[in-house]
Amino acid sequence: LAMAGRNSVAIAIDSRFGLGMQTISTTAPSPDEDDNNHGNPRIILLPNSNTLLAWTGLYGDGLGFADEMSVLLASKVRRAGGMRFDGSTRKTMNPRAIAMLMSHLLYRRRNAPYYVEPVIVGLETVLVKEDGLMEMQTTKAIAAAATTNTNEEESSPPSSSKAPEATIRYKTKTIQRPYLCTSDMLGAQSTSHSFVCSGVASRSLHGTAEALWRPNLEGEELVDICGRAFVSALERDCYSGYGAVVYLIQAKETTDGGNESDVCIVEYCISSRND
Amino acid sequence: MASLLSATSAVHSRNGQSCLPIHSSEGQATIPVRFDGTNLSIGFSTDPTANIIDGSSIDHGITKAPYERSFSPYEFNGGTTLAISGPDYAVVAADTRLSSGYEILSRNVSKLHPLTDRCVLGSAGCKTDVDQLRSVLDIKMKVYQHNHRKPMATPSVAQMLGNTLYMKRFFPYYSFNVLAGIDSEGKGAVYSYDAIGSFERTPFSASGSGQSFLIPLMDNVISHKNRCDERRDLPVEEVVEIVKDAFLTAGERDIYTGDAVEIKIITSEGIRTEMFNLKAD
Repeated sequence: LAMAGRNSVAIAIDSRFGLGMQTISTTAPSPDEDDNNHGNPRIILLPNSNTLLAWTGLYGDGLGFADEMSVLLASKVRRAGGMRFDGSTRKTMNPRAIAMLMSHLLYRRRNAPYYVEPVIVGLETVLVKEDGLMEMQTTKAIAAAATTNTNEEESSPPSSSKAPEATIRYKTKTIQRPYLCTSDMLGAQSTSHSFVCSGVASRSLHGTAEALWRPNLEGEELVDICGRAFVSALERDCYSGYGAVVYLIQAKETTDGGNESDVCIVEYCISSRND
Repeated sequence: MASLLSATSAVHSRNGQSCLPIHSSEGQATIPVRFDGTNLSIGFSTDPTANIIDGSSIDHGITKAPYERSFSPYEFNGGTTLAISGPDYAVVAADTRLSSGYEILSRNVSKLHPLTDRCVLGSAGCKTDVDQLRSVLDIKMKVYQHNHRKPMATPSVAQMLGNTLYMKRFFPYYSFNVLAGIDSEGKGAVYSYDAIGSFERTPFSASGSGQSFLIPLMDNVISHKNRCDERRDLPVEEVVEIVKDAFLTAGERDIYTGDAVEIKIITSEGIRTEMFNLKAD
């Protein structure tokens, strides 16, 4: 389940790897020695510092999909200039572009699909108009155009008149805007400004998330709402659960607006019933 | 079908063969399907030498496959019901839409039926079975009134409904019921049922097409599960607001729920009715 906040996104993932009614594993070996989570058997991809990619479905196909995604992402990053050690910031890939890549990969296997339904969450850097601070030069331009028009003959077509173009200037700023996207196994995307979900308990998740989400959630409050909707829905489903983890991707507030380097990802482990 | 993944879960078995249902205005029809590893194709699984229709075309051969028609005595008319009990009240609500397949038959049909003035039955499912069940229950209530010279108490109504449903164990009433009322001690009582009469007294109950959207939400808000803040008793006005929010949620995500919600609040004084409009899409 992924939810969007004001300048942050949260994604909640459970920890069950099963085969129908049988649970195969709820933990996985983790490279960190002091990881209390004991690793999550679910694979979560981190293509960027501001994007997370997770999925539900067949585990084996998920592994194949993860490998193909990683290879393609790595080659794109390398082509875009790759790792730079000279201190200059590398241009990060937009989560929208990563979603397009994911759709392409899935549709490539149209006849024998990857049996996975992925969810992509991220923050994209966009340039927006700042409200209320707008300088317009249109009135001057329109007045100038009016005077030149009356001097010309009436029969001349309007496209040939050389009126000066109206120039409008706005103040702009960059912000980190949340991006949520889920896809079916053939790559058909579905985006939302509030939440997206995927998995066996998706009907229950739609119900709880629809009722509990509200706009302009931030930080820990977003994690609380996302975790609450997630755990409540999962308790009514026997194929999901055994723990939940919520990742919060948050853009720090800076005076000059957003910048890719001001994004951080925090992991929250949610306590839930172990069944 | 939202996706191929959900289509595979819509496959059901008819006479031992997997098939996909088709929504047809002329009634139930199915296409026999077979999913093999390399090619999702349509074919007859019982005869491996028959021509397998090529699954690589965009519609998986659906337009070429023959389909079978069979008569099904049941039809799903949609709808959602929700009931919540409190210390001295019970609230029961149901939407007012009647559908068949992808069509809306009526926007103004009630799914709630008061059995006594302390007890209301809400049912979703197949409307004809629901109507017949109500007639049978009404008759039994009248007989009880004549024999015992008093109206039936809610726990007795609950047991009677369970027995009535089980009497049709081998050709069930396609009716998903919730029963809400005030018991003989004055406390709110809600009972949940399945189609063949298994029942239990519960703090809340939801049934119908929107039940999976509402039940986890009620777990969190009414039963106060998975919450760190302190639990408090909810007054009846707040519960009615929660019910309205819940139906807004179900109306958003379920195609069979919408138009309006009829809410009945049952207290020891009697039954009060409220209507609340939902989206008509």
